[in-house]
Amino acid sequence: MRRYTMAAVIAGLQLWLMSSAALAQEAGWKPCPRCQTSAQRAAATKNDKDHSFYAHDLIGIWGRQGIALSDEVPPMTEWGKAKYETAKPGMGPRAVPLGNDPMMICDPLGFPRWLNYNYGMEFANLPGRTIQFFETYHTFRSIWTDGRSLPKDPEPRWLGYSIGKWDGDTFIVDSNGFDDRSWLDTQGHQHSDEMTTHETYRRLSYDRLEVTLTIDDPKTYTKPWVSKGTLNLSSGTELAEYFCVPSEEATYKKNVRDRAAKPSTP
Amino acid sequence: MDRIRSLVLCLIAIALVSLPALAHHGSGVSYETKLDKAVTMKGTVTQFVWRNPHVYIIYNVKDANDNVVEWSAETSSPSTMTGNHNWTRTTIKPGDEITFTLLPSKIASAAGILYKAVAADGTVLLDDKSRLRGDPTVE
Repeated sequence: MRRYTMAAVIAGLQLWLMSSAALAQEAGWKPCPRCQTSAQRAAATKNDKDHSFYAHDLIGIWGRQGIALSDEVPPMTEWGKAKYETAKPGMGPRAVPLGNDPMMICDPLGFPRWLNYNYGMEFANLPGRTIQFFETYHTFRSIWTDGRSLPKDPEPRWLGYSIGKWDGDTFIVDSNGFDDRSWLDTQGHQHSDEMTTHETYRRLSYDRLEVTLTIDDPKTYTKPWVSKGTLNLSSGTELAEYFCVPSEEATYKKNVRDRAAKPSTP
Repeated sequence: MDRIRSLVLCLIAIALVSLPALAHHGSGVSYETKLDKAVTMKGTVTQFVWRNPHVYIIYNVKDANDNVVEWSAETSSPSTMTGNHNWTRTTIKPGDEITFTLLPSKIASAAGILYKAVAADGTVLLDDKSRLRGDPTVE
């Protein structure tokens, strides 16, 4: 009897140690926003709805996809139309196989494309700036909040130059200085290096963030392009390491993309 | 009633989130999208590539004359396959015999997007109805 009791105690101890190890393994390591299963999501967000929040605190991971550009594309200028015609996108009404979307060769997505395609976006604060991390291609963007102005004659950058400030409970971001090689979206919409963007972020509740994006680019569009959306807090997640690896893209192109589109391949 | 509405909205949201997975990398437009175009075949896996931008499987199929034809079956990103289908980097291994159902390429090459995969023991590894969209422009 005593032997059975001891065996039961040892078995119980082993189970406890195993479960502790399992818990220790899970604690601190979380799935990425898209890796999270629906059950994990339900468990992680069950208390989010009525959770208190501070409107000026945007820290956290938001969304699993991004803010889509509005379907109401403004009319293009002649310059804008000509540039748009050079794009051969992989989706949308002009989709063709084996197009020339820059992302297919790991070129930077640029801004604001990173805002509409990111697999999850995380805000973090440093003194004098807010950082926006994007899981897609493991990229960060600096939004300077130290009172500086936008540069007058900026050297073009994929993400441009950005400054931010609070207006009431809305975080406002203005940017300029964009490299015009990036596309605005997967449908091949274009922009010029004269584009400026204006974003607003307003926390509607603990788990919902309202985002607006205004693209102003008179060289390409005859009026501003305004988009709006809401991102959900991606509780219980952490951003993954998603690099665009040129060698992996090349292998994927050879084994998948080309094979699906070229008659000459097996 | 509110619960049902929430469930429906949730399902629609999940479907919308899963839709854009392919076309960003330029292959989605190459595949059929209707179930009546699907092809089913039994193959032996030679490569299971668990990498961005999309997970894919290379496998061999014997045709009626015993010739071996190499096929590729594309899925979504590793993270999407994990979150939506519980796949991991070890879900499929070289040597596995799997019955694949693909929506094949429009040019009838030996390539397709994976719709359904069933292991030799009958385990359903994938049954991805989001592939049946009918309109490649909405991917």
